[in-house]
Amino acid sequence: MATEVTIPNLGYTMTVAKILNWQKTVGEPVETGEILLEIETDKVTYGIESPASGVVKAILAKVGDEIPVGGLVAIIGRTDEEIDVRSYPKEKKEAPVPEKVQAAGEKETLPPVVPTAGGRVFASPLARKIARTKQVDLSGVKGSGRSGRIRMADVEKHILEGKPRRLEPTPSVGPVKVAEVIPLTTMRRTIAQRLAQSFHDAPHFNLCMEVDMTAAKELLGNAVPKKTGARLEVKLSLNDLFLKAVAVTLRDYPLLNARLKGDQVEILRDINIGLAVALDTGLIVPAIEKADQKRLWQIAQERIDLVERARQGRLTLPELERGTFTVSNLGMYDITFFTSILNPPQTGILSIGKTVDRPVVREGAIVIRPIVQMSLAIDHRVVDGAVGAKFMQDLKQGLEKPGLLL
Amino acid sequence: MSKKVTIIGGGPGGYPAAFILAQQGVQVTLIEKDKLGGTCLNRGCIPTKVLLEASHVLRQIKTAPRMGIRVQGVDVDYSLLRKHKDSVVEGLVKGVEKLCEARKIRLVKGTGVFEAPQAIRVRESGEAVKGDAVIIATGSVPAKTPIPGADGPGVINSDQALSLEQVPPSMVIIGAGYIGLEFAQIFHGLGAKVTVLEMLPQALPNEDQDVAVELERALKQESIEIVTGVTVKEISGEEGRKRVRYAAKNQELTVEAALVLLAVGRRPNTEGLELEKAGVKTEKGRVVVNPFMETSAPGIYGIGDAIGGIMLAHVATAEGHTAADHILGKRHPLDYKAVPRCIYTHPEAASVGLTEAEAKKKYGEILVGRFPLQASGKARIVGGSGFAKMIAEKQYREIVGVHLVGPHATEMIAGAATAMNLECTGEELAHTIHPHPTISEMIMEAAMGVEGYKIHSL
Repeated sequence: MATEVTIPNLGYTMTVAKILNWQKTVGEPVETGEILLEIETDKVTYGIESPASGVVKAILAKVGDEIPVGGLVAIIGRTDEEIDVRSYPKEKKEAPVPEKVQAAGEKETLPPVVPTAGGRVFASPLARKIARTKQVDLSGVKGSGRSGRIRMADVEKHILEGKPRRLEPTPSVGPVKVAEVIPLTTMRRTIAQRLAQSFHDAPHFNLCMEVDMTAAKELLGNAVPKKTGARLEVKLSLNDLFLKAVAVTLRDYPLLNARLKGDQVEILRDINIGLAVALDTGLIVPAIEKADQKRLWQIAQERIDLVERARQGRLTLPELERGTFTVSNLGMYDITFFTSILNPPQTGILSIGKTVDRPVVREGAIVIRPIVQMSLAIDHRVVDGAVGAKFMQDLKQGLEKPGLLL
Repeated sequence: MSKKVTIIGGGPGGYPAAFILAQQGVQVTLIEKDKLGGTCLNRGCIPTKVLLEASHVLRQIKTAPRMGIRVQGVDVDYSLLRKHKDSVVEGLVKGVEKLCEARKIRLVKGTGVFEAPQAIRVRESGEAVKGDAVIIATGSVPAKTPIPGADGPGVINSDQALSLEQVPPSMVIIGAGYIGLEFAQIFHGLGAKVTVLEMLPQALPNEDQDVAVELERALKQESIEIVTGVTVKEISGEEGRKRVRYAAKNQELTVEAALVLLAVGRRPNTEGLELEKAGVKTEKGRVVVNPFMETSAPGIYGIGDAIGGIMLAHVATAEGHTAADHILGKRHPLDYKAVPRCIYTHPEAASVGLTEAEAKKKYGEILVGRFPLQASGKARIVGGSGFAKMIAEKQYREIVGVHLVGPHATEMIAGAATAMNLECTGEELAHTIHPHPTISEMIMEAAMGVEGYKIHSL
């Protein structure tokens, strides 16, 4: 009896996976649990294990193909088994099969016109072509045809009225010469979609604040490096303190540890602090689970581990999807102040700059103190300014008197 | 309380509008002075196609020996053919009547005349009909011509041509539009010697030149005489021996025939409606409307041949649909960009959208994809001559015109009209899988031509 190997569903946002490589070839024997192939989703790379022992009878997807969740990629069978590959898939799986399945090896030459993750956009071929040429995102165009179908006139009207939404530039447009065209990776595309959606859907506002880090630096300076298992020591950084302070402060502000879903705000039980990690290929936000209940050492240890695995592309989906609030720190790049775009569906994100020595006034005298500037971006649909301001005030108190946090 | 709508005229514009409205709970009163179905069903599309079908069958019988089928003793009993034609028409009229009944439409026999904007009186019975909206769907009548002698004996129009007791030995048809050419082939097929005179330099003056040339060539090959660029000076003589004097290329010529058929177009039938009492603006007899079919008077709509424009049954139906939708609160302006036009001669011709000349004028640069019928496998089996021609504007390659000549052209044009209505470009049609072997493959090949390549032709 042959066994089908399909693309597993690794998380609720996952719809397709790209085949990265095959560890086995047709005819090669394979044991249950052995890695058969590696796939890339919008978030992780993942090794798919063989669900059965036997021989690889057929490989049905090439490296680079994008296969939907549930899609058949290989067949495992007994050595002596005759398998007619053409008869696969035997029956429709219940797994959702997105429409955009690409036939093996066939690539659309033009970029997709409708990059939104949302519902299907109905538009005439001509409207699509014009949108492609003029770089209009059709999902923003109002259709006048029957059932709201977008026609040529609607795209032209949209352009005339002023704000064509840009897609990636196409090489031949305008006087600017294009040196190279980089197709979006799955990850890049997801970032583009999610952040554009966040910026478009969630009305953001920012609250900014300075924090005196004198006490915090003292506390860290006095901390003794700790030995942990195989690693020699874990050096605590200010960032760990920020993560801890944010997590503890969030306990009193459930609306900032929440997400908007339709007409409801879901308050989340755990406080999982996501930390934005920059990779060469994009941005990824693994989260430290229940950070408010963890000791500073544990947070440091987990942070180092997550960052390292993020760079290796070895994070798991739960680690990437469990975040309830995000902290972004650009201190290491000498950035003193910045703001961030919300990481949907979260309602808050804290941006932290570099801690620098500045002259400040204390008791009527100018003194030099390590000062950090931070900004809190909030989804105004869920949280109002006063709540955010109180959160920032409490956070400042916690960081300026870190003993209270620990 | 449900809406009340009055429709004057039960032709292919009026009755579909009535049916659409009735199905949405509107109380419809349909006023028709003659038979339901209008010109289309009684004096136009349907009866002419019955006669053309007979001439096609006859042509097939004549070409059957080439397939080894021996046929002997073929002749036409014209009175039986007329009976067949009448029974087809009668059956269809009955069908429309049954649908009217089933949809609870109040059918009023008589002539509707406006007394006030929403008040109509039936002239014959004096009955007053009131409602929330009125649709004027009174159709058209054959146009007259100022040619001297055009109202003399033995000069008939298309209505009369359909009720001739017998086939005349010869006929002069004035006007080489689709009506003139269809009648030319009907009577030629039945044995008459036919001459067609056209004032403009090409037959089918409104059609693409390639279509006109191809059809003219095919009809001439059947020995139907077609003379273009003529000025008809006078019609004289008695019935059975008519003389038509005309000028062509500075030469004065005369052609003799038993009958003269005027096929010089049709004009809106709005006389006697007393539209001025309703405040409905007209222009040379046609009711003036906007793209929603609204006239200048609120709540009064005009559709079909009564508003002029493209005088075709399916256009009337579309206009009726638009007016009915508007009454029901659905506002979709009618777009005339993809109206198919069909000529049921042999070979058939069908077009949708712009001619090559019109497209050039509108877009400047255009792309033309052509495919000859001879290159189609199925066409070789069926026989006949023709081509497919697709015109696209250059920038996006939107299909702006499709012209077909050949077997089943009139059936196939619907596919092209669908594509144009959906704003297709050459690419989509070139990649639409067409069944093989069919003549419809011509359309796909012409689309490939627009895109710059071909499979079965050079």
